[in-house]
Amino acid sequence: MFIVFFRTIIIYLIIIICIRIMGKRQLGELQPSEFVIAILISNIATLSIEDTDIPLLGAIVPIVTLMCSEVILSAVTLKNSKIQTAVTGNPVVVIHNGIIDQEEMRELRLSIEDLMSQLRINNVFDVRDVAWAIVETNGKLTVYQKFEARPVTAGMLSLPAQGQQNTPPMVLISDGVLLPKTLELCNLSPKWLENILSENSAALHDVFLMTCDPSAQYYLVKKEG
Amino acid sequence: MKRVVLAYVLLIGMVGLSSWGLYVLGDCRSEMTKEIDGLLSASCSEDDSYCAERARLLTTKWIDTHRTLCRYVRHAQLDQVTLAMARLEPLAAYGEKGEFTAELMRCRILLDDIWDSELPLLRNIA
Repeated sequence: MFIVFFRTIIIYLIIIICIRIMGKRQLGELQPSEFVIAILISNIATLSIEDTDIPLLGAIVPIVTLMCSEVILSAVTLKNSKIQTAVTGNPVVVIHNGIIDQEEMRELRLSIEDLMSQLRINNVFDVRDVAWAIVETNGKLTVYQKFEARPVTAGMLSLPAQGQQNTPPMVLISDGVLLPKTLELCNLSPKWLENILSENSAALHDVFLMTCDPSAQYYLVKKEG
Repeated sequence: MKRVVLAYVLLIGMVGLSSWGLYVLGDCRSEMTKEIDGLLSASCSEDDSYCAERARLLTTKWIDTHRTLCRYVRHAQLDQVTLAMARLEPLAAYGEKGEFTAELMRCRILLDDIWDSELPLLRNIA
């Protein structure tokens, strides 16, 4: 049983390292090649963990080879659009100016229910409101609404930006631990933090959560008990 | 870019590791085959106790080889050789010459088969 235990830990660590090397692309929506890699790696890992008859190298070699192939293939597809098209395919327009392209829908084997569900996920309930609906290479539907159906934005209303409204509040102290990077990003000094803490009669380790933004607005929650 | 370089390095590493595995297997196989061939010719000319002693040494050598090879080869294939090896010493000691020779040949063929199945040839890949 210890054999399985140690093999599991080794395979787990190898997969974590491989996923880290493959990068964040792997963690979001999967492209076809990435989907294949994910399935293959999980199968190889399961087999080698369960079947102690297989040498550990018999699992490590294919997992690392798959990871390398994926990284190299993604680097090649960046440089060559033909290979990219062959590997990931092209986005497909399924609705243009409120008109559904039935031919493409048949080609994609996309049902009306699937399309309507994807539209609703994108907060669109009427097909006529859609300017463009595109099925991306990862299978997600991207919707661009017609102008008259789009939500009103501050830009449309020409509202003036007050202060640094493009920067959201960031965590400065998390459970008594100071995150100095936040001070740097918000252009605030340690002196400012000291003043705020003394104003609130709190030491660093007493703070459960403190957020701040570049306009020095802050929100502070002390630890309970 | 660093990731791509690392991927190339690791890929070369995997090719190197596979080649090393093949080299170790080839080395072990030729050593064992040499021993088995020696024992096969000894079984015709030498007495039973000499053959039994050599069979015991061969089995001991195989146990060491098995330890090395199980890092590269599926254990089931190696276990078959181990089972055949385990029979050699008693067969030689109690004078079962025909069966002793047959088991030696079996070990040899199993080793050849392992080597053959690990070669990166189209017939093995397909």
